[in-house]
Amino acid sequence: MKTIKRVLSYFRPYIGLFILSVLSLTLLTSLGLLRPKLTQIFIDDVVYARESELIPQIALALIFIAVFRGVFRYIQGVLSEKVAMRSIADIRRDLFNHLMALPYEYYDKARTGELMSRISGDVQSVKHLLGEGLLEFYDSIFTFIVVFFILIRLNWQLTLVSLSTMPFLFFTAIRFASQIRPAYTKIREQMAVLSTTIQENVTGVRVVKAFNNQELEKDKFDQDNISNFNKRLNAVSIRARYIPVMHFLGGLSAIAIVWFGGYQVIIENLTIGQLVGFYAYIWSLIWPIRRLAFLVNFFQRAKAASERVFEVLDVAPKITDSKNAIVLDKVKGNISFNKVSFNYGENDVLQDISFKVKSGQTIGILGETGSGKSSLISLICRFYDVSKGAIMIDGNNIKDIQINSLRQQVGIVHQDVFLFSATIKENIAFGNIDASFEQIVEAAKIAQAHDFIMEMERGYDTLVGERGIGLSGGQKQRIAIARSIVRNPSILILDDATSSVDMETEFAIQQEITKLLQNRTTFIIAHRISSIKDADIIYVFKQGRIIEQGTHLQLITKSGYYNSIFNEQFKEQELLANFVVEGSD
Amino acid sequence: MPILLSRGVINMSRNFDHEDVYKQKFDLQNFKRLVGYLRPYLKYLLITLGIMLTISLAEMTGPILIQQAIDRAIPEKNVSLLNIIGVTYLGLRLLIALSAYFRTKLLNRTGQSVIYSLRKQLFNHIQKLSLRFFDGRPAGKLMTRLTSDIENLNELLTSGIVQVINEVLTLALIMGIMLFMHWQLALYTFIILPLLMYIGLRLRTYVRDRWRVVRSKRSSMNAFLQESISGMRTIQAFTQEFNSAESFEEVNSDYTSAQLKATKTSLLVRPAVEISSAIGTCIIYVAGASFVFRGQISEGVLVAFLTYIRWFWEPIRNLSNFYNVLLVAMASAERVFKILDWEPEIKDKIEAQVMPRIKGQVNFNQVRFGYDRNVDVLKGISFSIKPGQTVALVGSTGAGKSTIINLIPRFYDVLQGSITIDGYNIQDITIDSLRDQMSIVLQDPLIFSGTIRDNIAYGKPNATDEEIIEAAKLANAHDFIVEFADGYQTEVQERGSRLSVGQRQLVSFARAILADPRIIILDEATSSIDTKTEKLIQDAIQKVLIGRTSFVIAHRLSTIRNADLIMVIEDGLIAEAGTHESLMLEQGVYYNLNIAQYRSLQKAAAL
Repeated sequence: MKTIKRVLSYFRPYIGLFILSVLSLTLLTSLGLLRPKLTQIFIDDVVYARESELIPQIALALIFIAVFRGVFRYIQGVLSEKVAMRSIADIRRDLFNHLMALPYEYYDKARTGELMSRISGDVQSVKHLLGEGLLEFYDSIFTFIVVFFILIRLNWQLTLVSLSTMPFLFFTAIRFASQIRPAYTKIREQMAVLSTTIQENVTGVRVVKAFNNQELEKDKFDQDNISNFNKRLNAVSIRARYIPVMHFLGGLSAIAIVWFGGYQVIIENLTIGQLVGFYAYIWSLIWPIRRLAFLVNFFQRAKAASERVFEVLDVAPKITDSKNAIVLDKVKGNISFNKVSFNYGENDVLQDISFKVKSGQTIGILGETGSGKSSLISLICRFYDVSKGAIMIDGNNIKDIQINSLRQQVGIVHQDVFLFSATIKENIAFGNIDASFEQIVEAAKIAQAHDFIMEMERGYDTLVGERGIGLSGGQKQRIAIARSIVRNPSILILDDATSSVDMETEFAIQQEITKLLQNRTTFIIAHRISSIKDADIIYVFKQGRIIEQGTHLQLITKSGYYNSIFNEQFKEQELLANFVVEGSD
Repeated sequence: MPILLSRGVINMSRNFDHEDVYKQKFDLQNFKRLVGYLRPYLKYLLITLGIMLTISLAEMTGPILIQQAIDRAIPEKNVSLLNIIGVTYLGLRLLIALSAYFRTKLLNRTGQSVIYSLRKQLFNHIQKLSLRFFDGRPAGKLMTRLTSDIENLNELLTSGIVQVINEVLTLALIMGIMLFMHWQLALYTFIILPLLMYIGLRLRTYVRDRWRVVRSKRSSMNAFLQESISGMRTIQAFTQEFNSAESFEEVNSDYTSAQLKATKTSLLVRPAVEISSAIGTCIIYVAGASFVFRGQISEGVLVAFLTYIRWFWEPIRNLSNFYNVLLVAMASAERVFKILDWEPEIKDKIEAQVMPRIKGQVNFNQVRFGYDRNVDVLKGISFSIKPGQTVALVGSTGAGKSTIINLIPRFYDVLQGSITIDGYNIQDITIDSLRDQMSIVLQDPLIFSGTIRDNIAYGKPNATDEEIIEAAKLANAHDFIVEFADGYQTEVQERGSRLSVGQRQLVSFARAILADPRIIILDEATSSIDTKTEKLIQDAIQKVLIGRTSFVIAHRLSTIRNADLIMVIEDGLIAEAGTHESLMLEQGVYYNLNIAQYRSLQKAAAL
């Protein structure tokens, strides 16, 4: 009940329109129910009475009814669609805005596909409920009651006889509705499996061919294909079993009218015109009854769908601006961590981290996967909130800074780069929508992306992302770097941002970025020593703690973790050294 | 001038120009070919048609029975005739129900069988196609061909064609009965047919166009949503929430107003039909009454006419639907046939020999190749590799390294020159016998959804558990696999998302080892991995390469250094070849490549 109430609350702004729509529908149906009456009059008072006087009136009335029904249908249809579409557009807007307010933590667990099905599929179910559902429910009941009374007044015996099959019809329809739905769900699920098989086969074509496994693939596909065939036929069987039965049950009423009704005419309880009218009325009852059964099922579904929608809306956006949040105009980039601990729920990912960074410094961060490096920089942008301790930026606790004013001055390149299905130009400009084309090209040059972009046929207008051309990991990373640079951020964060770029290019990127680094605080997370060795200070992380810190020179003289990694990675290069001619530097 | 005009709206609808099926010319050739798929089921389809006609006939007998009741049984107070009519009516209804059961079953079984075999044919055909076909064809497109395009054909092939025949016959039957009952009244009634036809063909086409707009607006909205959700972190990191909200508002209201527009036009159809029917009914009232008064027709006939006129619309509506189904299906058929007609470029010659066990002598003789026939990527490559040697290919992106390794398993055929293995030209041996002796490990290893075991066993589908574990151990994958609660039975989701990049590589090494290939091709990943995993991978690589002729697109210095032969590829040619030591001494391209890397660390080393 609470859910329904909440759905209806989206309805409220349009309640006036809705009432008008219900009114139109009532008139539409009522006018329709006059038609069998006209037929009855025509047959009894014109045809059998051999009296042509009434013909023009009846004909006019028929046309009049058709025209006005048209008008009312139009009004009702437009109004109810407007109400339903606007309400769900509001729900969708709320959902979308809410999703944007949800923190990273939510997206760590959420699956895109599932969220999509809630916003598109479930919201659509709610729409059916708000639009057709409620009105049809009303209309079915209204029609049923009115027709029932008309028929009872005409001839109650015939009414009872002809309506006796209706309960069976109703329950058969309910059973049908409840059986066919799972059958269709199974088909949909099976189609998803089939699609995955195709997807993997096509994207993995080189592996398939290299291992010469086409036959295996064919078999795999054939199994999915057969299963799809069977599931569909299963749904067909259900339809084949129920639909003819429902038609038959409806048809029984018609038979009852001809048979038992004919008898009633013979014993003069009924006129022929009434009989024909009766016949017409019965047909207008059969449809609402079948629909009612579906509506029962429909309401359950819509209710479940609304619950799923509201479930998303009810997730609290944990990270919000505090009441008197400070707006930072220009961040200088002095950052300090004071005894910061952080966890995603259970174990601490960061424990008691403290350090101070001055504006303009470059900070290198090194550590194994899972040592807490990425978590650390996520905290700086307040993608997550610390569990303990505090992070200060230019002397302000970041919890007191307006989130947008903070993030606007941060340029971040995530570990796994996300590019939108848009042109390269637009993707770079995503960092700064006011950027001119020159600025975009400039940023791309710094990120060493300009050359490969220009090699593409459409250059900066090349479509990338899911629906565009496929870029290599390194190319994506370079576009993402350009995106961050064009933002002209006070704090630049590169989270393993050059991992897929070859060393040569990485070196060039670093040279360029160093020129830019004046007055910027830069965090570089990397696995390669070469990526971070020039940093003003390097922090080595292990299991959520800083185990070593210092400059490259300081760290390699200590025999710690850094030194061991350095030796590991350097050993390779060292071999080269034998061949390098002295003084060629 | 800002690039993203006004408000950072990334144009989401751009990629969604729906192929406009409605403007295409009707292709009779394709239609015939499509109908050809029904030939094996002709018998069933004829039976189904027979059943459908039975249903139509039985339905149409209803009004005649009522007419008999009104004209004879009731006025004559003949209860036994009324009983006969009642029983007949009941029998008819039973017949209809029974027939409807068989119709639904038969029709769908036929349809699904056609779909099943067409889908199978298409999938199997795709398996035969060479890589050239897959280049630049997004997986999504092929998926659409195999799923929705085939579904579209279903509708036409089954319900479509059979139903349209049924509808035409039904309409003819109704008209025939009416003409037989009283031809003058029938002709009067037919006046409304052109009106209904007009509504069916013109008005509904117009309505359909509007709904098409709705569908495309909806997919734009969904595409925007999908992308926003997957890119939500990026949106938040770049504080684009406000702009995204505005963009969404735009797609949201576009969709809403398109739907309202379509609804408005849709709402014209029913009233138009009702008014036409009302006109028809009026004609029957006026003309019918006067015929009754003149004694030309009975009252029952008049009532029957009133019923029949209401049955005009249904067949016309279905015919107009059929037209729509036909257009959609023909467009799909064209796309499906285009793939089916795509000749597999790379196939066995008729006289192809089976390759004996490969020793591993690989020769390239003046090989020229280009993906686009006008642009050479390889411009005359020659080399000779002895059995068991490891060759490292180095050079910048686009130089032609990947192309060389694509030619060895015959993913593409050379344009000029030849490739021989143990003296056999690879074009003269069967593809199966060639590829069965090769393994390939790609940069971003493909992990199939399934268990880890399945993924390793992909290299040898009938492998035993022992063999699989042994391969995993050799590939240094065993240790992390057993750390999972389900071990080898761990389900890895689509694209292996439960595994890290490094782990995925180790699994693919295990797969390659299990296949025990004679020639191995390895495209080393560039991405840096944490030092621990990195060591495991380096170690695994060395083990994989032992005793096999191997080609490696190498990025790791350790791999390169251990190679028997390093080939530096530049602009489609071999710039240098030799061992690490000899190339460094030469101080050529290879030397310079290394210096660049070395310099970045040299400063630090100079301490």
